[in-house]
Amino acid sequence: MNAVIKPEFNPANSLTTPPTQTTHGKQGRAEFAFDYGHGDRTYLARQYVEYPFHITRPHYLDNSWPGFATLCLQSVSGGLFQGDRVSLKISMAPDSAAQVTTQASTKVHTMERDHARQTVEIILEPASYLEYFSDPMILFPHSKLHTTLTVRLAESAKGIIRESFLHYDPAGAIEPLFDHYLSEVTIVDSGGKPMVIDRQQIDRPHKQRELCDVLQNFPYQGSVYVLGSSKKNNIQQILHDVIIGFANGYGGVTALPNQCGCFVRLLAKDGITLRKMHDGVAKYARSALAGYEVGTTWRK
Amino acid sequence: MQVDDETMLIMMQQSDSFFPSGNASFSYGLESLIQDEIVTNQEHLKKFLLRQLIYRWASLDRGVLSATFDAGIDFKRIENIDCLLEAMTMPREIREGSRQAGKALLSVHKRLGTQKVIAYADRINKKNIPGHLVIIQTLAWSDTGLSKQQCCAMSAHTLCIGVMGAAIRLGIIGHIAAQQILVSVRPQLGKVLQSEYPQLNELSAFTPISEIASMRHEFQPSRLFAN
Repeated sequence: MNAVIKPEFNPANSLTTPPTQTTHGKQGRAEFAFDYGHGDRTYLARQYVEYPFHITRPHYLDNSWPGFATLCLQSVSGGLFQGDRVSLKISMAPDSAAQVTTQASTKVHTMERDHARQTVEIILEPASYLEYFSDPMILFPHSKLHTTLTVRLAESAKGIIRESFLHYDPAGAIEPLFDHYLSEVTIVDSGGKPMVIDRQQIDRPHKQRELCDVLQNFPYQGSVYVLGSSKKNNIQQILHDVIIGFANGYGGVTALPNQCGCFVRLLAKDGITLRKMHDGVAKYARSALAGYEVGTTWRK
Repeated sequence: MQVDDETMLIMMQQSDSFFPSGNASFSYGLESLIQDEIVTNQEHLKKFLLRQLIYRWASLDRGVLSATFDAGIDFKRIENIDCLLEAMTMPREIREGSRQAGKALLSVHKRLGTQKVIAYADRINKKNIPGHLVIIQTLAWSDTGLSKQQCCAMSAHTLCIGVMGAAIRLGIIGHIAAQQILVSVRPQLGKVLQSEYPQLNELSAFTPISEIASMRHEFQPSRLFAN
């Protein structure tokens, strides 16, 4: 199904206006541009990093794909606090291939007034490949988080984008006690036309029994967007077989709207199960998209 | 909601399960949830229905209905709303089922001579527009003179009887239990119907369990329903 008409929906204007203008949070920005060359490998051509972000240098860890760069994004602030506005931009030049991952999960702390907002923009030029593996957001009691992630996908570009969250109360409550969670993932084509808009919003789940049940049974939730054309026709069947057998997890695979790839939604009762499901999907999705096997296993 | 006799008769006709609306083949992921033993009894089913109503219909479909109704005969705008719904519907079977049901309803209303639907049908054929069910419902019902609020009530009602019909056919409840569930969800549904309409840039959904169930349904070897 090719939807030929541009929806008037503009992801840039889609977030609810913050209740108060932030004056107390941190406003950090990180921008990376990967390029390809210099001995047949992907390198970091440009970078700008300010507090709270910090990055490693690119590593080349996979023997099966020596030119594939891995960059670890770190935060030195201890998580997201009220009023924080952090943004990340990753640009992938033609033929570049990289993985950007975070050092660990991000704590989203208790907030009294404002919310925290994280904005990620990813630009995938033709024939580029990116794995963006963000570790889960940990939603503390009364936290309020807005995340937006926009991918501009050129026709021959490919990528695996991973998003996840969990709720956690240091005092031990098992109910989801966060106040608000809004996650918006938008995939647009090279002309800016929205092809996928996955917008999930949860408000005060502990006040709503039907919603509370779901989040209590499955505190860990994840999504994987496998973008671009696959070298294997049966990629959905392969990913389905990977995630179907987890006793503590529940997941499904489907085709994304407007034929821009496939999509995996995951629910898990524990973090180990979610990580195993995520890793299984990443392993087989990379093989199907890029034709390379995963040679590195992170221990976070 | 003040309803005169003729309007009441129109609403009863259009939202009756006897009306060939095209969504009788929907289970909204319920078939898989029963097979996966996540929905096993009347209480589970009631929660499933409430989640569909509050965290998908109210936050997504109702906003689409409202915007489509407000667009009147600005079909260019309605096309954009239709494409927006396509981009926001993640499980393939839900997308395709909605388009197929929309097509079936469109075909019925073309034969009934519903003018707005006939005008939109031309554009669907020429421009490859999805033609989602809620869009066609809104065009058809608004053309009969129903208000936006009445269209919303009918849309929610057809969803409820669709889910209950699927549950009965899947053998998880009987007819009396279905009616009990419909009565029990009415207070919460009433509150939703009185709330503000979501704007297009506020649309969202959070029904991960039924989404996953619908995705798993794609891989089931034998299926009674389209999703």
